[in-house]
Order: sequence, then structure tokens, then C-alpha cells
Amino acid sequence: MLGHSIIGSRLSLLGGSILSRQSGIRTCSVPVVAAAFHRQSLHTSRNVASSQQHFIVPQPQFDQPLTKPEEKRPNVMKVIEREAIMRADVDGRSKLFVRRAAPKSRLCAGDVVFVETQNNMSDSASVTSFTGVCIAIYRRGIDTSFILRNVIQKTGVEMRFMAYSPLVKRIEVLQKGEGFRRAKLFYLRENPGKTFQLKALKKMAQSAATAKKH
Amino acid sequence: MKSRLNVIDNSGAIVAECIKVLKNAKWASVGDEIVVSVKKARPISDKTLASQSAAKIRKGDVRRAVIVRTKKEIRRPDGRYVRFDDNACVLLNNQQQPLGSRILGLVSAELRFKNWVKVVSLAPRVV
Repeated sequence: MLGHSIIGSRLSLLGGSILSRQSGIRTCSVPVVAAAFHRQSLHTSRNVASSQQHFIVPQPQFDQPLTKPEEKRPNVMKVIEREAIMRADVDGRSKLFVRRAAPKSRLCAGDVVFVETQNNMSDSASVTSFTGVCIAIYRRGIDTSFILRNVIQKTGVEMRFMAYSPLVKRIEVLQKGEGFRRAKLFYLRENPGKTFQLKALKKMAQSAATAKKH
Repeated sequence: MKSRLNVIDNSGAIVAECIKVLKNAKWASVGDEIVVSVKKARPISDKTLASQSAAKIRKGDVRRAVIVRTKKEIRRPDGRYVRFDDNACVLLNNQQQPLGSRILGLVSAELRFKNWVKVVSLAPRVV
């Protein structure tokens, strides 16, 4: 029991309260999977052994929390989200999405960004890459995403990537944007000016980036 | 329905209007087949008429087409969204093969998932 994660114990406490509430009503159908799970975790002597074989007992996905929450009364959802980001943060990309960081170290709207994505989970060798000007960042914790825009063969293309997706292999800021004073640069769709005429430069940077990697 | 699409092959049509979505739905997206009427076409000179007796596209023709780009963003299975700046289609013949011999712009990779192999192979770039 002591080895269980804080979240796990919190959940089991929650489940315990449900159980105790429902133990008053015997005829009520207890969610048996949950009951079996909590029976296992709490070592209570509830008589659900007969239904044990018919249900899959959910195992905790992760054994230990990465860090013990420092707060006295941690918000469980916040802790879960923080841990999810820490797990997804394989190459330090979370630093790019810190809101209050200095503009140099984080991703800003207007930057030229290079993203490399895997095509499927099984084959890590097949990758596609996309380069573009970042026109928007949506900071939503683990669901953080950003939009890259580029003009390919005279057609504007926009891609919205999930920042913490395991399929996104690499996010690289090739060039910092200059002279952008807005958080969302949707106006570049209508009047791009010379933003996307850096393409030759961009392609060079892209080939350089790939050359650096290999 | 009734939206105007750029035609990005060398069949002769330039702008087409969607007049029917062929899948019992209100909207069509990339990889869906539609019926279009040609609203604007490249003028056909007498020479080309003489040399190519094959059916050339004129204004007012009603043809089938497949959508290759949409301005509305499309969700990919991996969670990313793709959006283009215009709506575009490629005209088809009766065998569901592209009418033109070339495609003059990028197409979306959704076509590959929906088995429009010929269109994908003709396209200069698939995004």
C-alpha cells in the first residue's frame, strides 16, 4: 500500500467512499471491475471473488509518480497533467512551450519551425518533415499544439501539430521571427507580405538541419 | 454544394462548381467524389480541336471530380490538422481515372488513404 502512488491512493480512497456509500444498498449493481480493483488495492474482505475471473483487473499504467507533489493539497488533475507532460517530454521540448520564459528560449509566433513526424508507431524510420512559420500556439497543457504555415507550390498549407505527441520526433526553431507583435498571426493568411518569401533560406536551413542529424 | 473549386489538372477546366456530393452526405471533403459543372474553361483553339478529337472540356460541361484540397481543416489519424488555402478538385472520366494527364499542384495525403492512386502518382507533391 505504501508503494502506491499518491494518485492511486487518492483514487482508491475515492473508490472506497463509493463502496461504502453503496454498501448500504445491497441490491444496487456495484461496478464490479472497480470493485475488484479496489478490493485488490485496499485488501478489503468484500465477497466478489466469484466474479473475479470474468473481469480484467486494471493495472496501474505507471508504478510510481515521477515526483511527489509539493503542494499540501494537490489538485489531482494538475498533478496528472504535469506528470503526463514530464513523461511526454522526451527531448526537452516542454521548454519551448513555457509561457513566461524569455522569447529566446521559447517558441514564439513568427518563428520558423521545423517539425519531423513519424508516419506510424511501428516504423520509426519513416518520417515526414514540415517547415513553416508558426502562426499560433495553443497552450493547453498536454494538449498543447501549434500551427505552422507555409506556401508550397503557390498554395498556402497550414499544419496543426500536437506538441507532446509521441509521433512528433523533433521540433526545431530554425529562425526567430522579427517584428511580430501579436500572439496569433492569422492576418498572414490575407496579407503575408514577405513572410513566406524566405523559402529558399528555409529550405537551406532544413537541409542543414537534416544534414546535422545524419 | 454550390461551392466553387479550382480545377488543378490540364483537362482544360479552370473553375468548377460542385452540384452534387456522391455519398449521401451534406458535405464532401478530400477524397470524396462529387459532380461538378464547369464554370470557366480554357478556350479551345481550332488547332487543338483538329489534333485532339477527344472530348475537350467546355464551359457548362457536367463531370465527376474528386476533391484534392479543402480550405476546411482535415483531421489526420495522428491528431494533426491540415488546411489549405483553397478548394481544389481533379476531373474524372467514367472509369474514375483523372481526365487530364497532369496535375499542377499539391494534393492532400488523404487521397492515398482513400485509394486514389492515380491522382496521387500524378501529383507533383503530396502533403
